[in-house]
Amino acid sequence: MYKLAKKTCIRLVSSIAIFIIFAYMVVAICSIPRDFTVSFSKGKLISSYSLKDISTKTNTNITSLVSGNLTNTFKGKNQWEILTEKLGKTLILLISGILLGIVLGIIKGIFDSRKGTIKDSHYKVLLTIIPMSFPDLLVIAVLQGMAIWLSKHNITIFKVAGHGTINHTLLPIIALSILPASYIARVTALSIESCYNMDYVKVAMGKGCSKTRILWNHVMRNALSIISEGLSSITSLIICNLLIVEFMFSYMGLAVTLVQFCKNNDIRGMVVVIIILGAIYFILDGIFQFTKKFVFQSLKEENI
Amino acid sequence: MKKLNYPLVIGAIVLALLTLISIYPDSFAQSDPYSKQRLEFISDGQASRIITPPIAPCKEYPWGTDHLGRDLRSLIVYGCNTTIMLALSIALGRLLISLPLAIAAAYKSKTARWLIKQFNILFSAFPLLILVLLLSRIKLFADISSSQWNAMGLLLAVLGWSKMAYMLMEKVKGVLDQDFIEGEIAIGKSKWEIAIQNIIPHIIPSIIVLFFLEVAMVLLIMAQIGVFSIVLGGGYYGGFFGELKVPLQFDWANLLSMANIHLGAGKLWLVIYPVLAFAVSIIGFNLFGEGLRIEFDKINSKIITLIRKIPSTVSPVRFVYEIKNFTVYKSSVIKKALCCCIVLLLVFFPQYKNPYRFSSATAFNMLEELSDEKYEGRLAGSENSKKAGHYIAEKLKEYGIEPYEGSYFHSYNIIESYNVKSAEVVIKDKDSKVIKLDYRNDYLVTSIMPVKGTYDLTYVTPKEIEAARLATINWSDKVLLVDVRGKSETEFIQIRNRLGWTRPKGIVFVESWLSRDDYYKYPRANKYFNESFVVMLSSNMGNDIMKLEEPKITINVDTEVYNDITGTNVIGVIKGSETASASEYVILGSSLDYIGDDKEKRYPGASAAGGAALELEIARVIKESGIIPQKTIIFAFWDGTYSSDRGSRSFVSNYINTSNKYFYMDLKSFINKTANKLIMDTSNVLPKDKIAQDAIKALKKNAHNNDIDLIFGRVYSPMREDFMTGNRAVVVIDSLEEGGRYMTPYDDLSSIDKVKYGKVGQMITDTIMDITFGGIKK
Repeated sequence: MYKLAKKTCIRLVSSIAIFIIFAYMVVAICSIPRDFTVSFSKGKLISSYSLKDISTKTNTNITSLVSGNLTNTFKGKNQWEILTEKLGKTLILLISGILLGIVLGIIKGIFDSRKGTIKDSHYKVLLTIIPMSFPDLLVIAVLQGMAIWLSKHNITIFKVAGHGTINHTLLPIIALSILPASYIARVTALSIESCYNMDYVKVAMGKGCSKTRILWNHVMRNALSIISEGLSSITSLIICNLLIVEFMFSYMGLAVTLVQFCKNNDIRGMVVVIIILGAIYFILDGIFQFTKKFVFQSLKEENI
Repeated sequence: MKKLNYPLVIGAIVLALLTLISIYPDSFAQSDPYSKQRLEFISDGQASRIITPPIAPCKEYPWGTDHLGRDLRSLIVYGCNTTIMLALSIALGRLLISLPLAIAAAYKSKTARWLIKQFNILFSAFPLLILVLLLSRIKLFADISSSQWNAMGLLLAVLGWSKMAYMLMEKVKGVLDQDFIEGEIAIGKSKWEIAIQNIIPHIIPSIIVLFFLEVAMVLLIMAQIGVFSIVLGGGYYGGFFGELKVPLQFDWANLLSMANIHLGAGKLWLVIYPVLAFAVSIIGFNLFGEGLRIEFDKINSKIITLIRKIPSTVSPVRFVYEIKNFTVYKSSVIKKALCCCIVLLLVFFPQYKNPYRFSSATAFNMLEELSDEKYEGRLAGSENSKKAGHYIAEKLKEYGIEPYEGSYFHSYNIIESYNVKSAEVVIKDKDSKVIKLDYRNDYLVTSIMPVKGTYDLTYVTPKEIEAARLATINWSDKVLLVDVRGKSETEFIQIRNRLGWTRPKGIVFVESWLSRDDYYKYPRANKYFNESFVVMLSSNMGNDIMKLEEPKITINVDTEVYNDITGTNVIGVIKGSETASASEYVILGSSLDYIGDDKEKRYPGASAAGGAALELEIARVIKESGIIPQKTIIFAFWDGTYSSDRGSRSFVSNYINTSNKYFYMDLKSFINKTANKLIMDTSNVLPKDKIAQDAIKALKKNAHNNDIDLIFGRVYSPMREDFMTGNRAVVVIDSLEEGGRYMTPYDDLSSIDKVKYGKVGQMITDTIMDITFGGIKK
């Protein structure tokens, strides 16, 4: 128990350290002036701004951020208020999208896997690879086209774009869940297939257990641990997806706010949004790691 | 029966299709990607409609058009090469960075492991998309290379290698754990020898699989980057005063740059087709990678055996050894020798050449004649241009080309033709400091009235001009010095309009250009000021003059002006044979006139005469072939091309029948030694115009066959404006000059590259024969 706690503390501290480095890096990149360039003159490299200037600016920005200085108003509103409002909207989208993606992905993964049969199906490989290959923009375009068609037939449950009601969140959540669902389906199928190769599953089969019992009592228990490991690797993919989904659906979350800050060259705003998105990544990653370590421990690990 | 590896087969088919589209876009696209559908009024007897881009998918444009009227399918086909090559380069860059780091990390190098781990974590938390969004703002990345593609590719390669490195590291660890590695260490091999001789050959299959999967990932991120309007190509069209910004380049990511606007406006086709192109490519690369993985995982994989055999198969040392031991390796030597012969045959197989050869020597003789001093620069409407016209007519007659509509000469009225033959401008201040300006190098005279006299030169600011206008002050005794440097076009027009109210004697505008030394002749007149003479002064001379106190300007301008004179086009025709094509015409046009000589300087205009000489020689070759073309070919030599009263306009209004179809090829200047490319402007050709599109494809094919670098560019051609409506298609061809000898005294015979001239002439001859003869016939 003590060793586990010590290990967890070390991991937590190293994650916080990496987060701090990440935050500094974000501020540094955002602090580089737009007209920064390097040219070659008389055999020497000359930069338009010295590194010292840029690091001074970076430190100034960090100081003002740490002190909570976000007083620049944007259309009459305090930027801190804007960010907290947008964060809520983004989190609704993100959490719903991930949960839906996990559920759909696991179901599809179970369907795609061979489940112990000898027959090797390339058809199911195709069914896994092809959805993974769709750019999120295609999914969004199809969903929006579908929503327009439905609204022409007086079915207005789905809103094509915008924010404000639950109907506005339905399509973004579906769009956000497709890509993670594809990846999770693939990881699920592979992990189920690897579990079916284990001796204990063969023993269960030999003892006459039904396929459903083997799948849920033996295979899924151990496969979930592998699946939760796969979740960590797609977290950054989900956040990229989030940017596209919010932008295309004009859903006023953090991503759209980031684009507006970029257009207005508002460095502080950009830094805060990116750090928040990074924090979301680290928190999500931590949750997935925790889930894998403590919730979906394999039976063997549990008993050791 | 063996089970087919469907992912590999489908992936291979998709990649083969992408490869074919990249290499032969002309075969898959219905039109040139630069051709545009303009606003068109269509009337089919009962109903009339106006069509304006963007056009939704229809019979003529199955995938629709973009806002500029460019056929979307053609854009996607032509953009395939750029997009796929960029994705492959980025994936290759990532591989080159990650492979050595992965090997070092597998060898337990702490630095390599730390780098891979930190890059993985940091660029997972900091999505690549956001990073590229931020870094693309910085000017440094635009300055790194002339092309933004390279800058973006560099960023994506340098920042996105970590995941690939991690996977390769795991593979390398797997190989290092094998028993045979211990044996290699025991025999004394160094780490790098083991890496090169043992590790890399064993992980080649994994590298190949990961490479293709990586290309798919790169394409995915390129699609995302495109959505955020990060430009991967060059620039936008429009985007001012509420206009929609339309990307000029058509790599697929650029086509997505306005995706959210297009979806919001209901123009789904502008998003769906480019995204589908991405989707198909990503699916192809993913399936191919997965298919290869399935294949390599087989125990007795033939592909792995094949891959391992490749180095020894292609080794020349091995080939020499086999030849020396021919009796043992007979079949292998024969197979390899056959392969070599096939490759050599494909590379060096002689291209079919048109038996009807364009003679650059003959054309050059005609060019020499036309640029001779006896024509004194061939000023429009002058006796000299008429003499040049007679020479051309004699040549047409000599070659057996029929006169058009019964006569070679087609006259029309030129309201005004002028030439500022000489000018002297001297500025003197109150301390008798004198600045003598060099005509055409330090200043230009853009008014066409003769002037002689000495006047006070008064510097005025835009505010003073406005005050004078409001006070209705008349400056008819003053010559004004006005600094227009840094002013936008709108501001310049405002200043000009206000000056008009004050009616000065003369105006000297200080412009931003610097003094030259090539006597460039600016042919356009400033017609706004009827009562004032106008001088455009270089920036450096303007600085010197503005420092003078109470300057006086002494000016003497000698202008040759002709009013209400007759311009004469020279036109010949080769009539087509078949009734089916009787309403289809191909017109070749070039300039007969030029800008006239100065009093003391000759302007031979060899490049411009090159167009006319080229056309004459093409006419000779086509006539002497003896073949009757399927379409009527008109050879037109226009007068007045450097004036406002163009011969081409007169021809269009008198002879063009709206029920016929015309393809007009405008031949401008050919071909200076500094010109290494030929520009073709196809922006005024309708994508649905089959004759014109076939002609453009023929031009590209013949440019390739004649070793000419043909690129798309915007070329100013006033004749194009005259032809550019209804059922007429216009292609303008010009040389891309570097060093600018055009419109200078140095544009003489010595500056013409005879070899390139011959190649261009042959290219256009082959093209005309392709489109009028139905192909080159013996």
